[in-house]
Amino acid sequence: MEPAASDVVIKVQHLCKRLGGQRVHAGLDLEVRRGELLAVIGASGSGKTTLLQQIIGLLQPDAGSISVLGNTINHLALWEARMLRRRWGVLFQQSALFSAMNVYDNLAFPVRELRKEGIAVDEAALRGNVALKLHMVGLAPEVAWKYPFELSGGMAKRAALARALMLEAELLFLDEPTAGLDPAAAAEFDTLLAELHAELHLTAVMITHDIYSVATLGDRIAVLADGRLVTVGSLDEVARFEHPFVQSFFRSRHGQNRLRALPTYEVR
Amino acid sequence: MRTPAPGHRVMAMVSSEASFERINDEEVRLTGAWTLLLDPALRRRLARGLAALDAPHRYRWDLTRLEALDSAGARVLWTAWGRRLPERFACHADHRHWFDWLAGTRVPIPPARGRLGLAIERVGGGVIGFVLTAGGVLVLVGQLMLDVAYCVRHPRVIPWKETAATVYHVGATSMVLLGCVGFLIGVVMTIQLGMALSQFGAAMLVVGTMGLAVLRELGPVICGLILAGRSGSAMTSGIGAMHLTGEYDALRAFGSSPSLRLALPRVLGAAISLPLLVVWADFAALIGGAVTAQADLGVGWRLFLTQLPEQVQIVNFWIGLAKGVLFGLTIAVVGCYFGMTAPADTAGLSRHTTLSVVSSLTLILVFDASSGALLTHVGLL
Repeated sequence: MEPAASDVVIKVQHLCKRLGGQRVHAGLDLEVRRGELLAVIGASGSGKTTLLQQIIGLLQPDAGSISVLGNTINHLALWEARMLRRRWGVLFQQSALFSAMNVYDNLAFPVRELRKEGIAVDEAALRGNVALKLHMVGLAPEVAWKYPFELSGGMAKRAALARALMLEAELLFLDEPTAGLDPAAAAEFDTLLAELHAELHLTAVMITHDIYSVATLGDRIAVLADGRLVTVGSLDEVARFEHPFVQSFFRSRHGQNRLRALPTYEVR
Repeated sequence: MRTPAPGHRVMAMVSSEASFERINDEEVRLTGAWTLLLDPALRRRLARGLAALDAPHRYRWDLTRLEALDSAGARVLWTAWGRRLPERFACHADHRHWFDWLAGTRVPIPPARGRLGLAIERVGGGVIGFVLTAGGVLVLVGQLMLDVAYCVRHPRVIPWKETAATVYHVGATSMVLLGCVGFLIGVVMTIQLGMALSQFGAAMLVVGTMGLAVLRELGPVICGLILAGRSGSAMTSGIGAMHLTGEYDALRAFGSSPSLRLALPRVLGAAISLPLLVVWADFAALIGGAVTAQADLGVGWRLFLTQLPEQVQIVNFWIGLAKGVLFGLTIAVVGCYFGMTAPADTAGLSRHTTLSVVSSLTLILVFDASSGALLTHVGLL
């Protein structure tokens, strides 16, 4: 089923990228559709994070084009890029909360940045917004006055997610959202992401190697290997795909055990 | 896949401006896209308009025609409703969750603290911090002494390689800088002293005065100050960054002592390099002085060099060297202490690096003044 053009939020075409003499992407194509949560998996070094960095404009592609929300990102004026960046949120692997600021100021940061462009948001509205976002990610209001080093890994992830949602992102990028969390905290975080994704109608791209996140969250799953997109589809379709990495990811004893624990999945 | 609400955040679509309409005494109808985060002026206008409707809960609120609703839009309504849902209320299922979230939201109240309390806390915290730091440095000095004793009994654990690396990084790489600075100090001292002394016809005395000043004071102090900025900061940030990457914990997990592996080689290396650098800076300053004396005062450089041991006692050179050792120890101990106690975050690391440099600069000047006061009877006459 081909989606209508207006339903494609991100379109990556023939992307090529070399980093440090290594070929990372060699003609990668990828589409992300409106409202879906796309899980991107791949072996270590298969360029998942590099792909994300190019989509959000932290790295320039060598060749190929990337279009996000209808804008071709390598041909944007500075102000256009700024406008576009406001429409997405990024949850970084290490949370990347600013350690010099408490959680409140971290969450307020993107809104206060808007003031520099003349969009003045008054302090009461800002405080209400911070409170709402803290509640949405399941953090107590008192957490606002803590500094990042006082937070546990799970709390820091939640605070970082709240910061990514401050500007009402319509597109959310998640880089290894459950990395470094214990299984219980990771499962809770997966549940939170699933709820927010359903209620906010976000489009989300999640890079992960947590098979549990992939199976519970991903509407579709994209597999990167050898600098290309190997396959993309639902969990069942991808798990049946014949490829060494896919085999080892889904059919390893570890992967099978974790999948068996899911109520919705049937082992073939 | 889920189907989004009609017009939900579809930016390509031209959405109409948010507005509301009081249909009759019974009903208020909302239309347009209430995405108000990026339009504060509109938000304030709507908030004022809604506030003008008295007793909002007697109306039926029709939100079904909204094209879009974001958190800022939902909060404007929520505030107008007095922070509870009206009894008669209809909205799109996809917009409902905002009100569920808002109902559970508590605005965080910053912890109140009086100005006096704050002042007392700052002063008290500063005093306690100073005492703790001084104590911590003394503990580190004690630990280093134990480490040295351990090394003497078990010579195989002596960190030769790290010490040699420190000698290179602290000493060898500073030579060009200190050579230039020392030469310039010698030139300036000789010009200025020579001007004053020539007025009394005592130009010859410039050899003794500048020689004494350079060997006893300027050589070691200049080396100490420059190295505190150059190497002390590098030690603090280098060891401190190991907290960020977890290397510090890894070292301890292997049972290695951070003081032995990180602090001791730096302290030994600095204590070896600094006196050598003092000799080098003294040499450069005296060359600068001799050259200037010949060019500016007509005192030949041969005469300068033969007069120097006549007018300046050799003990001043040794005092300068001893100061070099003391300053090297100070810089390295302070630098390592602040690095080892740095918190694992970027702000803490930069604070500790500043503290390290400021503390060693202060200590160097304090030690120099104390030694000057204590040694007035040695080598001056």
